[in-house]
Amino acid sequence: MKKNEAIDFSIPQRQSILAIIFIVLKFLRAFVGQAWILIIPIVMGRGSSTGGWETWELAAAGMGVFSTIWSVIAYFRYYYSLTDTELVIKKGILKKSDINVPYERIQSVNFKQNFLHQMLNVAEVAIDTAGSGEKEIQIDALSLENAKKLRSEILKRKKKEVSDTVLDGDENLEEVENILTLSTSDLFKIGLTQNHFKPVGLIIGLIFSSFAYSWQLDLDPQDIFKNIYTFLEDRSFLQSIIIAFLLIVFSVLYSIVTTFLNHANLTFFRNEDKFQLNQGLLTRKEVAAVDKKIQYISWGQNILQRLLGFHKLSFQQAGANAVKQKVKNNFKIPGCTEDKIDFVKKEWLGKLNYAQSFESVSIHYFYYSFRWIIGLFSIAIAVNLYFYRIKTAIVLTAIMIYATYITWLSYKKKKYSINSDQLQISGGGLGFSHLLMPTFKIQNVAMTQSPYQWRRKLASLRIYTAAGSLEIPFISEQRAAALMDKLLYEVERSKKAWM
Amino acid sequence: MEDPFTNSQIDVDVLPSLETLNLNELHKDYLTAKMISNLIFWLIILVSGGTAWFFLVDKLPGFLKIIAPIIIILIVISSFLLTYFGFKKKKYALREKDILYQSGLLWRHKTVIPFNRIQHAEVTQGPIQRMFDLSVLRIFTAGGSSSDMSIPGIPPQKAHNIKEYVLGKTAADEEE
Repeated sequence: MKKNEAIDFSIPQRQSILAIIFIVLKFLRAFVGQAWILIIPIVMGRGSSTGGWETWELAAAGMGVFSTIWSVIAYFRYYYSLTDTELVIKKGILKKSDINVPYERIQSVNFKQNFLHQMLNVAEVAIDTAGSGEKEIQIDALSLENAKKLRSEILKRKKKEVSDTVLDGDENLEEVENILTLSTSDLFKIGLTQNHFKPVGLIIGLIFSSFAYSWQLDLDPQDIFKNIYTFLEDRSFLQSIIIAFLLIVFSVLYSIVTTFLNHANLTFFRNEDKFQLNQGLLTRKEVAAVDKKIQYISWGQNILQRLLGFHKLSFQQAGANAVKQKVKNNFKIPGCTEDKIDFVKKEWLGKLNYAQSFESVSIHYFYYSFRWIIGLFSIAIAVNLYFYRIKTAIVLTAIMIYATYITWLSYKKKKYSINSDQLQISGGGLGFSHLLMPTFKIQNVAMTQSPYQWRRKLASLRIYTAAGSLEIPFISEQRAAALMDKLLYEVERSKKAWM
Repeated sequence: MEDPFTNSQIDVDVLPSLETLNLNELHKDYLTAKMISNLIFWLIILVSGGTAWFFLVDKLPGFLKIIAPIIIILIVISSFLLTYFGFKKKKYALREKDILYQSGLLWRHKTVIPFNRIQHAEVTQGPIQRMFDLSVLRIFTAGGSSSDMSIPGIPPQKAHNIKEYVLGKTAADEEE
């Protein structure tokens, strides 16, 4: 850093002047998000009636002027400062608000930079607090330099506060240990082994959403459907192979492109008591997960990734937001090999008594789904056979066999292990998934029994954490009761804070 | 987290068991209260449904005219039966370190919340419960809304006592 002059954060500071741009954008996005139902017919109607043009244009111009003025005022009304004990933000035009956040409650300071941020060399700063229900505190744009200064200043003060109470001597020793960086070839491999059904789903979704809008274009949805159907019916064998091939090429390309966009320049590292992840090509994201806020970790792979030995690791963090939105759950790291995961486990939980043996669930876990699959599919197949639709019946039979196979695999792979320190559940259909949590982070435990289960003396165990619930399905009633007793015993005797 | 690490073995057979617990039943008046609210619900449905029926009856195909009322009557009767037998399944228990609530006739559910994980607790009262001098004890954890516990049909005084006891235990745990 060239200019290293310290900023006096005790004096209220404004954001970077460029923040106005981002406030305008945020304002417009919020407006469009609220009013898109009104906007679409106006934009759609523009072409048909010449009279609509001017009103539409006027409204847009008015909107633009208004939001710019509003944003400029908002910018000049926004101050942030650091006192001895807390971060203070003063803002608001009509409704003024003072936000005070004690340093001890600040969990992490994250930066986010999309393409525009990077061009202008500014960063959006998001301050993550310990509260479970609270909103994140966000500063729209600070110059990257100031953002870094603010972050180090906050972390310094936070640490001072902590060391004052603990009376711990050494401070300011940032131990950063790199865990994972992805090379271009790694990114390519990750892209290649993504779930390629996702883009295919996207295409299907696109077709269906065009149905939804067809009423506006005076088209009969049934006609479009019929057209697509006859189009598919008329294709020769070769042509259908070409279509399938193009679809596959599109999917793979899509996966690779999105992988590069999301995960380019990925660095995943350990910084004292937190894991940090920086990634992204156009939108640069920096997120952190503090040890105590992580409730459980999970990792998984599909069959292609298994060949490469890659897992996708994710941290499940506490917070009411985690349940409602997926905001907090975006801490996912692709391309982790087994040794990285072992490293993360060790850093997060220290020395633990990891279970070696896993237990299976009851075979009824399979039977229960199997009954449904067989029941529903045989009805559908019988109906199709009755009407001599042999082709459809064959396809349905194939799907039925596949579904049964997947269900069988998920039964075979569903395993769990519980000891006094930890709880692990693994599963997966074609792929594999695992999760691990220490017993002291459990919130509460429940046992549930459907009629199918209690008639066979079976039960499912549900384990609630601050980051969502986990299930051990279809185990014997006795075993469930014993596990419940054991887990409750561990939680109740534990003196460790779950967060 | 600086405690010295210990890991002594525990005899699994001597862990306190939930199976042998003496469970408390809900207050008898709760069944009456539940039946009344059930009755009000069905009256509203049947009155509005009946009005619609009156206007639509001519347009319905013949078989529906006979089958629909039978199905509706069966649903109403079974809802009262489920309320009655479901009431008997609702039980709770207080232990030294946690609280248990179980319910469900067909889909059975048993939840236990340890005191050292309780975020807060409250006692609420609906209009019908107030007529019978009953209240609901609600206990919240950080485990999300589906994990929260609400025990109905407890007299307010008793509910408050349990709440105080529970929160006292929670506070004592935090001080340690």
